[in-house]
This record gives sequence, structure tokens and C-alpha cells, in this order.
Amino acid sequence: MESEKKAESEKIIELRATLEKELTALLAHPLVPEEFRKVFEDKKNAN
Amino acid sequence: MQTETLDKRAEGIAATLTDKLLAPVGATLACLEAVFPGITERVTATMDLGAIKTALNADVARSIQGLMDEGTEDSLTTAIGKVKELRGLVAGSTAHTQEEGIKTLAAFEIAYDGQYSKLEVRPGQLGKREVQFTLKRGAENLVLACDEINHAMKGAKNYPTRTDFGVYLSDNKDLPAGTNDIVVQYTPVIRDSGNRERYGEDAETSHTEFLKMLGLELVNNDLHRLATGALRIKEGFPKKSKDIGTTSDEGDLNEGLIVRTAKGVRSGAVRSYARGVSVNGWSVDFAYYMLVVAGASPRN
Repeated sequence: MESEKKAESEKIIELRATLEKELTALLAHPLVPEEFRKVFEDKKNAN
Repeated sequence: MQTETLDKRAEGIAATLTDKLLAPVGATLACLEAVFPGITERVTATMDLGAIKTALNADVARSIQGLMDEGTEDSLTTAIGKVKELRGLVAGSTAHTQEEGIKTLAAFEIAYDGQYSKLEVRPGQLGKREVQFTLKRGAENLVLACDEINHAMKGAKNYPTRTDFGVYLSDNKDLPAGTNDIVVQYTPVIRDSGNRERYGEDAETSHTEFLKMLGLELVNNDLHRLATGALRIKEGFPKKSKDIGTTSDEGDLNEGLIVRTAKGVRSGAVRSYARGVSVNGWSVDFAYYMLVVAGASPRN
């Protein structure tokens, strides 16, 4: 049970890292509209 | 002006503004727009910015953010899929013209490097506008060229009044050794010596027409050819001011690059036509080359 939870947690961390990488690349593209970028920036600032 | 050629070139320019060049896209396009009216529209059409804007709206962003906040394996996987899809959309918007763009960019850089390293249109004093070029040549020749051009302009028939036009060195001390900025200053709505508006009723039209007179007509408003062709007319600028703007100025051929000078049937405009992009030797004054275009493609 413990190892299952640990594996799941590691999977989540891995997915989050992948998502973060993909999202950073997307937001870095100059064609991305400001309103789209702003949603993530606001969330980041709120944290 | 050949619209088809312009569109094709605009497509090429659009392609060059890919990931590498797009960071300052707004400023770049604004600058290009001042010199090549309509370029923004053609570039944005090529890039299909509308589709991107539709796909990457705030609701979609919030949806992705929601999936991230949820933080489950499923939601994160879904979010990754969505982000990847959007990345594909953004990247794909310019990819289809990338190959041509690279070629255009390479050609442009070759031409650009040898002649001037900056093209800037900016507001000047008293409502004037300035077009600034950074030329890689010594100051003495440039000063002489400016003096000669300004002197001839003052007495030229059908040319802008002296207060409407001026050529000078920018005196920019920050430039690398061996380079100089030369500034062509003019009033957006240009009047001739009879106080008639020569190039259009509004600033935009006047601006466009004036830039054409500076050589863009003969280069079809084409960025690449601006860098190559507009500097080519060697002896087209008449020594005698009374000859400026007349058909007696036939534009002496410069190494075969200016192929003919003709007078427009309807407008009476005299235009020079250039052919070829190669240049033989750089022993002459490039500022003179560039600015003499004004003497080679005037009107009446």
C-alpha cells in the first residue's frame, strides 16, 4: 500500500514536470496571446 | 507594384519571423509597416494568427490550469495532451513556409551586411519623420554626399522645399568603428516649391510615395531588394539641380544594375528600373548611391 502510494506520487511529480516543461515552452512562444499567458502568470503570482 | 510578388515576399518574411526572430515581432512589424504599408496584414495572414488567438484563449488557459490544480494522474495527462496540441498549432503556423523563409533570411543577411546594418523609421522633430540607415563607410564621403544632395535639392524643380527634406549624419558616437548613420529627414506630407502636396493628401500616402521615390519604387517595396537594389544607382543623381526630376536625367547605368529609366504615361513620373542583385566592388560612397535614387525616380 505504501509503495503504491509512493509510486503514484512519483508518477504525479513526473507528470507535473512534463507539463511544466511543455507549458513553459508554449508560453515562451511569441505568438501566444497575452490573455492566455496571463492566466498562468496570475496563478503563479497568487502562489 | 506587383502584388503577387509582394505577397510571396511577405510570405517569405513571415517565415523568417519564426521562433528565432519573433520575440520582438510587434516592434519589427511596426517598423516594417512604416516602410512597407500592408506588410503586417500579409504577415499575420500567413501566420494565421486568428486561429491561434481563437485556440489559445483565456477559457482554454483556465481549463488547463484547472486540470493542473486537480493534480491527478488523469488530469495532468489530459493537460499535457492539450498543451502539446497547442504547441503544435503555434509551431505549425509558420512551419510550412520556413524553408523559403530561411532562404530569404540568408539572402537578406548577405545583402544587409554589406550595406547598412539598420533601417529605422522614427518620429523626428516638429512632426517630421526620419529614416535612418547605418552605413559601413567613412564619414568624409558621407558628409560630402549629404552636402551635395542637400544643395541640389534646394534648387530642384518640383522637389520638396528645403525645410521638408534634409540629409545628414546622425553624429551617433556609439556606432562601431567604420560605420556611420545617415538620416533622411522629411515631412510626412511633402510639399513642392509651389506649396502643393506632391505625394498624397494624407501623411500615410505621402510617406509611402516618398519612400518609393527614395528607391522603393524601383525595388517594388521589397525588403530584400531594398537592401540590395536601392543602393545601386551610382550616377543617376544629376549634378545640376535643374535636371532633377526631368527626363534628361536618365540615370547613368551603374554596372548594368539600373536597366532603364522611363516616364509614366498617366502620372508623368520618372522611374528607374533595376535588374540584378550582384554588386561589383564597394569603392564608392554608399550613401550617395542610396540617396541618388531620389534623383533617379522623381516625378514630372
